[in-house]
Amino acid sequence: MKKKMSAGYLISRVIIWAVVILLTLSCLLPLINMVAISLSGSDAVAANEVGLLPKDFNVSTYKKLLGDAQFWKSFLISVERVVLGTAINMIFTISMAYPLSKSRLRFRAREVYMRIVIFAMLFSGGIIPLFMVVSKLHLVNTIWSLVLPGAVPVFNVILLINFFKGVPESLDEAARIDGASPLEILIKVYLPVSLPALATVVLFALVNHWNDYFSGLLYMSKAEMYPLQTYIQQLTVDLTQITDANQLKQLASMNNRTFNATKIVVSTIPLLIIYPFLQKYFVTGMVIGAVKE
Amino acid sequence: MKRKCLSFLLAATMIATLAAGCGSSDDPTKNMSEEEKAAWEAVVNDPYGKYPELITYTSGYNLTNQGGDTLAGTPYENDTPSDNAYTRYVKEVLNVQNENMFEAPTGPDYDQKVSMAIASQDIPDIMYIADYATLVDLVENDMIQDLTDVYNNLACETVKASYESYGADNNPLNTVTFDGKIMAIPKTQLSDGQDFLWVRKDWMDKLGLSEPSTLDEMADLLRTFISQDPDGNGQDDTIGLVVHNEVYGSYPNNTFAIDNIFTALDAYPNIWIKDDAGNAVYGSVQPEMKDALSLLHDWFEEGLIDKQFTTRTTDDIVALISSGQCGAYIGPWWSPFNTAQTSTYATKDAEWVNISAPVGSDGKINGINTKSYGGFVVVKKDFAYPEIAMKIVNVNSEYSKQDKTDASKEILENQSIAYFNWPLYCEVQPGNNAEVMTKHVEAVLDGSGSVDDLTTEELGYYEAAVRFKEAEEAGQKADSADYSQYMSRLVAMNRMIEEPANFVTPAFFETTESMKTKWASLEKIEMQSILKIIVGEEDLSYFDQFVEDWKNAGGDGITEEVNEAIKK
Amino acid sequence: MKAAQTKNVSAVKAKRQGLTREEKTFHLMLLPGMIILLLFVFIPLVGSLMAFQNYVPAKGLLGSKWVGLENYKFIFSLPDGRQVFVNTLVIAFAKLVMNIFVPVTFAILLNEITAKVFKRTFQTIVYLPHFLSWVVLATVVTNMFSLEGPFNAVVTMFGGEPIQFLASNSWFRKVIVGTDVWKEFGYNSVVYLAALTGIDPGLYEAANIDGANRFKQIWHITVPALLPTVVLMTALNLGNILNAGFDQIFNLYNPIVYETADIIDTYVYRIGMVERQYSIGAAVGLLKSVISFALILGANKCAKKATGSGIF
Repeated sequence: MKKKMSAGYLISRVIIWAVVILLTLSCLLPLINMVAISLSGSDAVAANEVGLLPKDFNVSTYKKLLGDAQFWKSFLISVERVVLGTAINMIFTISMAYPLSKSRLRFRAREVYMRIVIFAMLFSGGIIPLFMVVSKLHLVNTIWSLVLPGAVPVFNVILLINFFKGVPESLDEAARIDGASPLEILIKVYLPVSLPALATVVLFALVNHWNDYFSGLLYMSKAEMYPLQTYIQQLTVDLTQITDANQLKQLASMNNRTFNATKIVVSTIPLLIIYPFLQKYFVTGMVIGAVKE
Repeated sequence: MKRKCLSFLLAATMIATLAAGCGSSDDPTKNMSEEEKAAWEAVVNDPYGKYPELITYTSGYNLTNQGGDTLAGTPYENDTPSDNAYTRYVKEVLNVQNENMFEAPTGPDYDQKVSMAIASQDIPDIMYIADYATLVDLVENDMIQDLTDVYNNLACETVKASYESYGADNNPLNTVTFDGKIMAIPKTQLSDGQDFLWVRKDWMDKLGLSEPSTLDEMADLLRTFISQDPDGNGQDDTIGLVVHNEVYGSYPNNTFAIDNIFTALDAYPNIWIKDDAGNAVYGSVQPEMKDALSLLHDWFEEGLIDKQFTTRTTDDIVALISSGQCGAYIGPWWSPFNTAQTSTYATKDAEWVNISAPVGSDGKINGINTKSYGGFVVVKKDFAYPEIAMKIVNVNSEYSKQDKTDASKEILENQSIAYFNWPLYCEVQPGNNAEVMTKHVEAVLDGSGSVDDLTTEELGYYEAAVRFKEAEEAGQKADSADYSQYMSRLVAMNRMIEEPANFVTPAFFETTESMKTKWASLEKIEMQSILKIIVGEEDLSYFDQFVEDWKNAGGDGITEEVNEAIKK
Repeated sequence: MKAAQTKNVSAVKAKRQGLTREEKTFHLMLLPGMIILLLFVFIPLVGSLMAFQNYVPAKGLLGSKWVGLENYKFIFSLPDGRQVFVNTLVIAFAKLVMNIFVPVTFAILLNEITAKVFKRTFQTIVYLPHFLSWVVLATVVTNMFSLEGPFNAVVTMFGGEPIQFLASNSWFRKVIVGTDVWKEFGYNSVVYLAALTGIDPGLYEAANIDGANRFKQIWHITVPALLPTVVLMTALNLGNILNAGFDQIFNLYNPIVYETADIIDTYVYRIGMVERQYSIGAAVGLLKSVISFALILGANKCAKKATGSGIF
């Protein structure tokens, strides 16, 4: 089929590419700036002299970081948390979205569950009661405190419900006629055609776990059990009151923007790697053709 | 009590030694013979008495904000908050060991852990708390024990003298005394003194300027800076004085704030001062503020103050100075620790000097005293060994500083690395401690004193000074840590000693009942009005409107409460 | 067809006979999730009772004094209560709209790019600013919008006077919304990109044959196909409407712009700075949740009327 190479088409192509490239560039530049800062001398950084290229190039902060045992410990804890947490999230998300995506006719208690779930998304008792529950369950200081309280990500569940709703009834019926149980239908019919939705939800769960610094702060009483973001976050705090000679010494090293930039760069790299990997699933569309309408 | 104890203690993934803490509600001397008892009493009543058996206590640990990389390559790489130079030292001297119920960097994170512990009704045996309100909570709810005897029997000389050095009115013990009982061991604040005007001397020399003293002289200096391109980059981009958009408060822990300009005109914003009748009034709504605001507005219009000061982040301000765009700011004596100075010292041959300016009507800077206390050590209600708290404070404040044996070498090294804090985070020093230390070090430097007389901390400063001088004499730049110690403790401090300031002690430091709910709105009105007048969005007469609004929004009521509180 | 009818009949019959086997499975599938919600949401919810007390941690929940609606009376009588509330709504609403519009547009534009390598690269890059914290971005933003920054360079190029954007009550909100959209559009577009992959390519081919140009195709096929997702995301984000972005505003605001930028969360934060106010925080939190709940239910009703099916 011959493509219409009209002027209009060309112009629209140019505009589209221009806009996309501009937006992408606007996102890229601050990141390049971060990387440049992480590779620059701290005096140049303090003076805001670093743009897109490093100044007084040195990798001392990377060496320092790679030599910091706690950084790696926290890194591993975060990895463990992300793997465990995302797996748990997905199990709950899928197992809850499936029944809730069925209409009221087939699942009469659906409306009740939905209201409970939405309520749960919006209402919270606050940090202290949550902490006390977690602590009474003896989960404090374990990886489970990072992974169980948020095991049901309601936002993701609702997303998935709506994607599931979009799966054609016909596929479902065909499977039921064949005598499949709901679980089998879920696994063999729904999941394979919902890959983009699943990839989306996995991404959200993953990112959430990777980025969360607050749970680590709340539930871990020992600094060596901190996940990565908690560990990084505590290193960039502002000292407002100097009551100790020690704090004076820290003043100088804490304003070390170079080192902070390095930590940010290193902790963002895993995400850079994961995303393209997930993108594979975005490209696969729904498999239409199992049923001829 | 025991049942509660068991169920809550099990919740922490701690080692079994915690059971010792639980069983501590029993009298430890129950099964001892007469001589054992006597020996025990001796230990308990000795400020540095070492326990015959290891006693463990649960605690909360204050971490610093440093990354673990700070320890890499040192012999202390594998130290932890339960096993580091300080805890080992305390163990050697007293035979006590801490088990940390929680650890967090000092500041809001640590405070939150404390709140959680209190809310769960499960506080450690001994812990540090940072604010007065928490102390009041603990006292009112009978969660901590009376330490009067512990203090009176066991406080070492340094501690007693330190508290007294603040004067009868400002003695930290006053704050921790409830109904005549001492309920906590207060930690003293680092000696702070007055803020100075920090200026680049190399610029002053280049432009032939002498040190300013009054506000007018200071304005002249700034005028010259902004018009004559002191950094020589050929651009008309020099900024006069950088100012933090919080403008004033928390004196003198407030680098880049301009309290000194206000106080030079006898205005004392953000604190409670006594008026002529002896009543407490709030400084920000007093008529003297008008003169200060009028001056600041004029300076702002002229460009003597950074025109974009309202929107700069602290990093931005540091960048302005580090890049050579600015050479003047107001800050405390420990300003040389700030990156702004260390980076310009290293890369721009900057020479910083602290000047006593702007002075008030009697030729001296008007400073504001801070609270004498920075935090408190409290002991849980039924803990059997409350004296441990006092002993550790003693070791921290006195013993370790005078200990010249090998054991204290680790302490000395760790003090310069500054990665860990002492357990209980409570060092007690006299109010003018920084000055005293400086004098000792100066004495050694000019030959009138001996190195052997220095405490371990002072020794560290002396060695830094020596290294700095050697580097400079060799024509090189010294290490920035040495620069900071030398400039702050020797140069800036020296000036503080030679050019004393007047100090106003606020009448009231804490909060009253209505403040809990109304202060945020009052502060909002205050900051909005002050800033708008300075930048010219409102004119000076708006100040009267602000005072009216402030009083009506609860300011009057709170003033009454404050006056009642200080009469108690 | 017949099979479906029989199934319906048996479902109706089942109404009178208890749960169908299928329903039993459904209940079982939901059970573990419900337990989690019970443990970690509903039980701690008891803590929201703090909103009706004068909560003191040392006294605990049972020991703290009950004050009924005092906390709410206090909140509503605050001199700036109304201003703060309006600011929150205005900023949150503007963000809601722009955080749908820009990501959707971007997703559609990106979808037009067929070269896979480029598409993936762009996608990966734009979703990264989401991971930078506002603490870090604050300096970048203040520099961009300073008197010497690029935005003012454009202003002066057109002959205007430089504007101190972040100190101006007429500009601050715009900067807040704009920078937030910039930070999040990549990440937010993920959902829409996923939805776009679900559009049957056959529809485009058919339209092509009918002579429709690409723009018409987008308008008549792509946009309607995205509509359900847009409605869903809008409704879900309505639940967030009273969180106008504490981190961002806290790191960028200053007292001069309090009147347009002070939101509920920053105000409550400053109250907490005086002395930790658990009760006020809990009261505000509870109020926000109630309002969000009402909004979401309302949005659902609207969605049902407009598109025939609700979001849940």
